[in-house]
Amino acid sequence: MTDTMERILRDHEALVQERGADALHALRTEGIARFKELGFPDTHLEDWRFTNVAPIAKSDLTLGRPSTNGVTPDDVARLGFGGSLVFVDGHYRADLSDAQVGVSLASIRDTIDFELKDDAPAFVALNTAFLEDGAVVEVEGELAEPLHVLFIGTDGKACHPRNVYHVKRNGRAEIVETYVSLGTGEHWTNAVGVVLVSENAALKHTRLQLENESAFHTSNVWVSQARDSRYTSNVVTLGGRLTRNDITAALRGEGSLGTLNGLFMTRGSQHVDNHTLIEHRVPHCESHELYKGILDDASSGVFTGRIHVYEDAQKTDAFQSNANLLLTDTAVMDTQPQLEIYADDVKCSHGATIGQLDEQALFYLRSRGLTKDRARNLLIRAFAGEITKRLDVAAVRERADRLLDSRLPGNEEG
Amino acid sequence: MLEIRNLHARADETPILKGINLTVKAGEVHAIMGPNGSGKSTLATVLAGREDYEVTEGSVTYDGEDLLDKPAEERAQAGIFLAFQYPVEIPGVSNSYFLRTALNAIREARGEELLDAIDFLELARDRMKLLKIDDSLLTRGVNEGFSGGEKKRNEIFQMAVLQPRLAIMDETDSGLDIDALKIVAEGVNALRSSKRAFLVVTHYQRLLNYIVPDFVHVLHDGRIAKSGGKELALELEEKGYSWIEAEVAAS
Ligand SMILES: Nc1ncnc2c1ncn2[C@@H]1O[C@H](COP(=O)(O)OP(=O)(O)O)[C@@H](O)[C@H]1O
Ligand SMILES: [Mg+2]
Repeated sequence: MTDTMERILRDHEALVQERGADALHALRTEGIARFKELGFPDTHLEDWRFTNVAPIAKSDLTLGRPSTNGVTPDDVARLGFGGSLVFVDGHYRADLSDAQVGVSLASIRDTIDFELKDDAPAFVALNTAFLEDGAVVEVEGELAEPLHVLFIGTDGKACHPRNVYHVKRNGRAEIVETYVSLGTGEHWTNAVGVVLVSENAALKHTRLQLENESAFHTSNVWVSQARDSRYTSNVVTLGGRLTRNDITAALRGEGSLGTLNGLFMTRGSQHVDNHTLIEHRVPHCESHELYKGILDDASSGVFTGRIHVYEDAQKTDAFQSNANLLLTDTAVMDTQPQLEIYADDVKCSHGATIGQLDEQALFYLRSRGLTKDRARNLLIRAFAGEITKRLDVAAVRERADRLLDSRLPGNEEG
Repeated sequence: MLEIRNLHARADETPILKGINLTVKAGEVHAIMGPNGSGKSTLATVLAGREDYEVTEGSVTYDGEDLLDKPAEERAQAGIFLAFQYPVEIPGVSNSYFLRTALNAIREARGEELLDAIDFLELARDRMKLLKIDDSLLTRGVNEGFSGGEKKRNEIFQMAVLQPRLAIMDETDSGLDIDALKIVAEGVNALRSSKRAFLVVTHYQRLLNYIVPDFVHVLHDGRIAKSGGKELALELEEKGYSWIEAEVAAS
């Protein structure tokens, strides 16, 4: 058994001692048993072929506790967007937040692991083993303002937030999760999100990953959509040393529309792996998926896009596109669509590209007086812009744009 | 203004230009004609600074300075403009942002004041009127989804905004109907001045009815096989290119 596994078991034991047999105790026990059985995934597993989590398994991180951190209101103002729920090392901090968590995890125990129990992947099981806290939001009617949820990780800590969003019948909401680091050292965020979008409800859900380049980030988001619902996910990854995002959107009610957008820009030796699964379980649903990656230096990326159209899901309309831009010869991208279509009357299209900047376009711009760097930057920004322009919270879009700009050749800063 | 001496260029080991000699003075309009594949676009593109072509022999000076040393952007900043035979689509970059960035890059290089969005728009609108271009063209992506004719007009619109001193037009007439051709020609004629020179590359004589050249050169197999006045274009229209080939073969 690895040292890390031993420490995880010890951390779990300590948590059980601390919390006693509370409402989440049984779930935690199941979670740790499952994680013990599965262990850290290795690259022999089909789903992990291109992402090696050994650096996480070998890392020396301790479980984040509510008391441990040195985060100030100034940090929150600097790192967040205001109007936030603030979590530090996975724990809600009322003193730093200007919004309130209305609902406790314990009170929605039955919702929080819908369908996760039986075949939970390793990191979901691990998250369950450490269930304590997370953003729990129930929306009835319309949320007037976007809700910001800020997750601050501190050096040396591992955290396992469980976020649950339920937009009830006819409701409307926009939720922005922002993940940042307080310092520059290693830490690990292993988040699980459970999202329920009820009949005729709509949720826009943005995840902005801006953690430092030593951080590990794993996430699993499970979305269930009811009849005539709308769900849009924007996953923007600029930070992290090693990031793996899994999202599963299940279209369970007719007339629902699921949209998954993604963008990452990596440099140095950053690695970003996006796994998406869209389940068309019933007829007459639509899904749109657009993921883009920009890879600089010796960074690497993975995109796996599964679309599963169930036998009954006639009149499905599914569109998937994955486009990647390699800025160097040393950057590496692996992309694979996986279509599993069991219905016969469906419209399903997909396309994946991996390429360099268009030489013709570069020359065209330079022939108009733009320097090589400016021409490159303009093309890179245009490539990214197709996603960032979809971020409809202005402050979020501007921050993403600014960070992208700061990474362009000739503009680099820290 | 432009002195081309014994210019040889090749792409992928294939020689394309095989000794071009051409002198262009300010105020002049030179037409470059010739059959497909004779090297017209290669000449235009080499002058604009495309690095895919390797110059193996000869020289080009512009305002007395070596041009071939300079990267494409410095040539543009020095007042050289190429209207592309096949303008490139750049999705996601609006035409107005692109053109303002280009104009300001050129102004910056010359130590001139930069134009803000409002001043730029005023200038752009004025030039759009000249070329009878619709306002919506400014907000669309650069050449994105443009028809062939719209792309060509957009090239001349850019030229009218950037105000080059040496304008090279590569088959701007192809793909234009007669009305569009007249509009483009009017736009070009409005730019003609004693300080500005034009290199008009075309396969057909038609454009030259509207943009009347001072000199006509016929390119054949990478060399200028014949030069003359505007009447040479009419002769070519009548007899085709084969008699030039015959002349070259005979000499
Ligand atoms: N990048 C290139 N690589 C190889 N051959 C080329 C390239 N560009 C042009 N050529 C060849 O050079 C010749 C001249 O082409 P071009 O200059 O486009 O002629 P024109 O514009 O007169 O039709 C043609 O035979 C063409 O195939
Ligand atoms: Mg040509």
